[in-house]
Amino acid sequence: MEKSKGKASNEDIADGEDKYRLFASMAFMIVVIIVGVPMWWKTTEVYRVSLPSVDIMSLSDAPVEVSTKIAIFTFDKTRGALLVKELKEAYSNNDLWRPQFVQISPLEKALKTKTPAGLESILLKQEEIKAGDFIFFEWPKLQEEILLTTDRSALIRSDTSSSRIKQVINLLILQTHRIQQILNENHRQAVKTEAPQTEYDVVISILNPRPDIMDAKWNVRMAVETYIAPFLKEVSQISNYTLTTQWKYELPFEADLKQIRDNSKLGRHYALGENDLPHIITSIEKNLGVGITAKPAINLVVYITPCDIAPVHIYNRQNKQATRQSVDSFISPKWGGIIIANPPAEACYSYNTAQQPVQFYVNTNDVMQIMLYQLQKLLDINVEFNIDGVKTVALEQIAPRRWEYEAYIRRSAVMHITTASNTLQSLIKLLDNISYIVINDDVGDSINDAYKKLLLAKQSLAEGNLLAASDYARTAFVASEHAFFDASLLAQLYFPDEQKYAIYIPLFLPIMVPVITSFTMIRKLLTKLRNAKKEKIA
Amino acid sequence: MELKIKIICFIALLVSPIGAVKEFSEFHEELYIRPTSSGHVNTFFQFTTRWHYGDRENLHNTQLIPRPIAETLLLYDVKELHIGLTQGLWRYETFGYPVVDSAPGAEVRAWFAAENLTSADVDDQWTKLASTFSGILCASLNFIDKTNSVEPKYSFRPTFATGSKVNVPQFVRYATLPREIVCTENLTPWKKLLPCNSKQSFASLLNSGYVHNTNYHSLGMKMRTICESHNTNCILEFTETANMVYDPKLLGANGDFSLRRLFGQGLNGHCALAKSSKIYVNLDDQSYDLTPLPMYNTTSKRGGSTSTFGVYDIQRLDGDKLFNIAWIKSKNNKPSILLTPPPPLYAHRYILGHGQERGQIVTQITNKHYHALPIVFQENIPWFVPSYMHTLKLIVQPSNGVEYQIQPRVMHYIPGVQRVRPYHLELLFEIPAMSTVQISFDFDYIFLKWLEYPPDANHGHYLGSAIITTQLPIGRNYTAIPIDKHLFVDSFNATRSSYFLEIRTESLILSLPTPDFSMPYNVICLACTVVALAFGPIHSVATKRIVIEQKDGQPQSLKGKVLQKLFRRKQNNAGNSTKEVEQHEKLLFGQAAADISIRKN
Repeated sequence: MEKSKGKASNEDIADGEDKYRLFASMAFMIVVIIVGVPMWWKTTEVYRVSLPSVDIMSLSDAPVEVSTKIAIFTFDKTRGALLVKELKEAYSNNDLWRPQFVQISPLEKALKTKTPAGLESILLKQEEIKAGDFIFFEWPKLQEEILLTTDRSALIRSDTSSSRIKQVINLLILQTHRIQQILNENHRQAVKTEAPQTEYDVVISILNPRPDIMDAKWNVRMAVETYIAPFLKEVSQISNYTLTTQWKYELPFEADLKQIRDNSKLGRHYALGENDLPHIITSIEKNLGVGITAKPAINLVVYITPCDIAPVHIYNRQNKQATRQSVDSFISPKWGGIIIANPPAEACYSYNTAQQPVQFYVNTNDVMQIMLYQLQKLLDINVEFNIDGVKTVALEQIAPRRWEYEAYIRRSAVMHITTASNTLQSLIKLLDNISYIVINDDVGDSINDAYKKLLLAKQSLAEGNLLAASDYARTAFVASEHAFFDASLLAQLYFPDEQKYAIYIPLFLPIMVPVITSFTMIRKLLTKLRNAKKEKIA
Repeated sequence: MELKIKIICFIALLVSPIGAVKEFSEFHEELYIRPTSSGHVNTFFQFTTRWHYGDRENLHNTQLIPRPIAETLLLYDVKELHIGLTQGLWRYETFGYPVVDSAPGAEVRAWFAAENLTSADVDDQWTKLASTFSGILCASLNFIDKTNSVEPKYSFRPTFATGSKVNVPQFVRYATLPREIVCTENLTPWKKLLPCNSKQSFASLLNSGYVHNTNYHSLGMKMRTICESHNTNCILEFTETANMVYDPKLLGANGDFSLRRLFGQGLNGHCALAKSSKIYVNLDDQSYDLTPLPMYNTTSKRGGSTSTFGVYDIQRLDGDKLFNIAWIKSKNNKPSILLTPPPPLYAHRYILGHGQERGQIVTQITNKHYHALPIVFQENIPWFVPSYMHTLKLIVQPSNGVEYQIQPRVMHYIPGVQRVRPYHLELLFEIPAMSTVQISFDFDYIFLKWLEYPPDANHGHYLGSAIITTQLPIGRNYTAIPIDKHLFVDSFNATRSSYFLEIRTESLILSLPTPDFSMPYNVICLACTVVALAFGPIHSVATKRIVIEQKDGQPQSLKGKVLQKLFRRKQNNAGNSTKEVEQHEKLLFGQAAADISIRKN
């Protein structure tokens, strides 16, 4: 079939052509694999700013450390030194707290002072006490073991033990248990508390369900400006609060009220079961009106009970009246609180007898004191405790106690730090899992900024610089939330990678198969050429 | 005439003296019912809240005014705001003029004023304001942005007062969304803005099942501030209106109708907070008998026409029964005479042209009055309708006479830019007595980017209404509330030297050429396939060697050919030939072999 001569000449030609075939295949490979695929990859790539991913994931490796200065003054120098030594030992192995105990040595002037306040002012001149720091000083004539003032100080008796002081520091000043709850890695055990937002709307709604029979008079603006505004002004280090008030009419409680006979002037009152309280919030919430800003709202509702169902009292599950006050109230943490302002009995008596609309004044003092208390509860600033021999000075002003507030700032800073680092870490994990999330420059900046501020916040806490730490932690928190919830992250969500491949596979599969199979051909040709060379040499 | 136009442009606002009144807030509810000459029933609800809030800080403490409305004033420098959500078309020839005119779909108009306010600030605030109300009313107002907003120069006049001695910069913005469909989801939040809940009061008549069965219904909202001195001693006026036109023939019972039949239920009392709650019934059309009879009648003389109204004061009613008014066709069978002649000015609009290349927008404004009227005509054409103003023509067609062309006295035109801003045209001209003016200009149909088509793109694209503003010398058919007043009852006996009138044309629907929306995917797939198909042979030709084989003794029959090929194939395999045989060929042979084996079987 084949003639030997023809074969030889064919092979000669083939040797000449083999070179070109080799180059052609190589050229295809270079164009398709080395130029084409990377170019396609690059042009269809999702835009992503480079992020310090590894650093962010290792954020939780470095635990939060808090340092504060705690000064102790005693008239007897050795006792003071002993206390400081004992306390230092107690905190020597603590990972979280790095308190610096300082002893203030007895002074000449201090002996002469007649009042604790005088003594305190002398001591403060001696030792600088910044925000977050605390001072214990001895006052022999004290009845309690420890008396906490409204400032950053506490009085101790001459025989107060160091363990009692440690208890106060742990429970009230540093609030170790609450910080540990926040820091708890295990989210099941951690208490679900939200980090404080930077802005809040405090909406005070006065509900008058029956304006036809109840002509309630109340200067809400004045009441709010007297009671609530000064308090909010004092606590606006972390969050800004905007106060608004509104009247809402014809918005009744949707709950079953049971009439109960009693010995009052009206001869009856109405029972509102504890189980119905959540339903009340649900029913009125949708009608409280929407805010037009994105700020979260704290709702404080005053419900003016109409005389035909007044007075209303809350009953607990055991079917007993839950409160003994004339004003009943309840709160739902984070949402807000409701105050049931029953009208005075005389007003309702006159309504019941005459069936005429009644005019009356809402008792500002009663309602606003409860509202203020509710607000303090909702903001979670106040500390309530029960330790033998430890008391606090009664509050004279609306502002919270200084040490309470600073503990709140410290707690918020820690909460902001943990929330921000959790947010950043989940974002990084998300980015690792879903490759088509876009990270644009703006979001990238936010993430980097949050990361830097987090480090600064931690550093400031460790250096005992509470206010700076709080500021850094808050900005880190805001930046991390902004990055996490930015809408641009979802820009490519409608075009996931699966679709990208689905569209390009009809192009790539038929092209890649011949290009890749030509690998074998190249290999064969090369061996052939090598053999030919060997033969020539031989 | 020049003077009159100036009046339209620079109306001096009449501020009712506020004086040193203590803070007050009042709420009024009104319902106006009028059978129209066409046999329809026009019902108009107005809920007015007026609040003398004094200084700005007090806006945080609301009582009757809804909180979001007061907060808008704090957040933005808006001084006046009109929002209309309308379904259906108001037919001026038969319905007369509405109390509040509004364009089909959604319409928003706002005035901003503040010291040091710049146009850029206003653009920003305007979109934010629209988004805010989008949330409050559950309407798609968030689609309002720079690409569909215009800044009218002559058409609108402000009705607010800053009370400032110095000249504060003022800006107006206007936008329509003619595609917007008004539904229950808008009515419910609209009702929630009322101080009373909707189980009682006039709002109890606004039941969604009945509101949306009408020929025309329009929800409106108007807000304005009137300040005596700069930002202090201010009044906030917030008005909610609902206008519905029913066809009693559809309600059955030979043209008789009643509140219960119109609204699904009788009136359930009044709002306890309302200062007045009144129903006004127009008695001009005497072909109906009313039961119960109005509590008292009142006559309104306005601009040369006289109307009689029956008044029901709901606050004076007692009893828990639902209140109902019935209109019953008179038995004495009077020949029904058209008592109110058609209104002096009305307008219509069309698209002319065929095919999808060039078109023409034509607006016809008809003046039935025996005097010439000054007109401000405003067009707001979306950017996707490139219009050519050199083709603009104003042709007067007198009712008896030859038509002729006129020139507009003033023309304010801002050409549109694709995807950036709409075409905005304002014309000031005079429409001669008893004639029609036809305004026409050409436009092109264009293709859009595929993402710019709305859902259901073949439905077409909407073009908002044109607005025609004028000053009527007579008050016939005119029911609007005077600028310095706020209640519907204030329109009684409110004779003025002229009557400011706004009317709107139909909105148009334009079917732009629509592509096949699966096209991009098809193009990608097709192009990839073609490239792939072409690539294979090119690659083979470039990289494979072609071997020519001599074939001897070729059999002639098909069977012989196939057998021979098969045979050669086997021989090749057996001979362990070093020849490169193309894979394709191998495949082919394999197939041929398979074919044969099948045949053998």
